[in-house]
Amino acid sequence: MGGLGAQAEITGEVPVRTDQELVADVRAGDSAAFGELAGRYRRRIESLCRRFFSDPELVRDLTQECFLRAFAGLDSYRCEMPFATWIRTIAVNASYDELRRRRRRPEELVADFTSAEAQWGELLNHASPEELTGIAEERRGAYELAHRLLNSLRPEDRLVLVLRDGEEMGVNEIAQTLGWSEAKVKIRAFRARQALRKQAKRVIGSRRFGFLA
Amino acid sequence: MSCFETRKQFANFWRKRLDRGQAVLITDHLRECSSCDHSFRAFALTAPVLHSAFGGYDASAHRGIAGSAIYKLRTVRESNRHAPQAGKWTAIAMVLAASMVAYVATTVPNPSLTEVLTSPQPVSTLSSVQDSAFPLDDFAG
Ligand SMILES: [Zn+2]
Repeated sequence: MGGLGAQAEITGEVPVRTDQELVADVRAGDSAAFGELAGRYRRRIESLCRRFFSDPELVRDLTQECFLRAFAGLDSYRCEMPFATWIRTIAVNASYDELRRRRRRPEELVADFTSAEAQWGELLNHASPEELTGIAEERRGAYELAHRLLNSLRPEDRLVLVLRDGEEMGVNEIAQTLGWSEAKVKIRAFRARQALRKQAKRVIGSRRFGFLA
Repeated sequence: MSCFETRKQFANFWRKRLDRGQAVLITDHLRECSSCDHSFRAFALTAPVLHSAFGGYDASAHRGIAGSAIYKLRTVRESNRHAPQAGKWTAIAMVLAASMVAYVATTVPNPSLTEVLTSPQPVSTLSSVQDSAFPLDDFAG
């Protein structure tokens, strides 16, 4: 993350202010500098939120909430930490708060699959692996079904799974971000995978869905 | 390629990080090994969220949601009406709201290959089989 100043030097473009310079400018009263920071990281934060929530409006609002929290807490930001790490930590905490607020029950997992999900299920049955990787991102059903499974996890389990698999963070990095011990992260990751396997088997075994039979 | 090696590469295969030769090894193995093929399809249940480059399908690209940014702007304005720094907050909220609206207007439904390749994501840390959501004994045929 970062390195924008160095990139500008290489390309010979107009010098770009570093994250730390933008933070300093915001602290000096230049509010627009925060808009530039938000522009740099908004897409990354939105992608993170999208791994937790399927509702696009919630994702947008949560993303915006993260930047508002960041602005409100900018005095507590220490420049030794990359801004990207700091804003990601805010996003993780905001997502975790929201997950805990709206946790679903596992029994909702296999009720009423949508037609989009059923279509994706058909493809999971019949399409080749290359086709699946090629078309998944165009399929709303693929995204919704994945969220349906992930929604059944405990918030802390889902949190660790998203950070480990989705964001590809190391155990140590997750532990630092969440303020947990590494042992706790490993245990949660293990439990998350166990729970996910169980829920995947429920979906696979569902008569309503009936794919991968 | 062994079953162990194949399953270890599911995430990289899904994220299209393997070179052509490696990808062919994976697909050849999946064609021959029903157990791994089954495991890959189970992996694909959650991969669209966990292993997509940008968190998955962007439904907002198909719906108008600029209103949520405007709603947030109103909320911040209301909640900070009597705060000492209300003016500063409002300015920030306006900057954010404007940038969100602009972003909604320019968001594309799916990232291009170039975007995926140039995405400054952290370097992949390969999961061990113990760390995989679908280890070898799962969904075995
Ligand atoms: Zn195999």
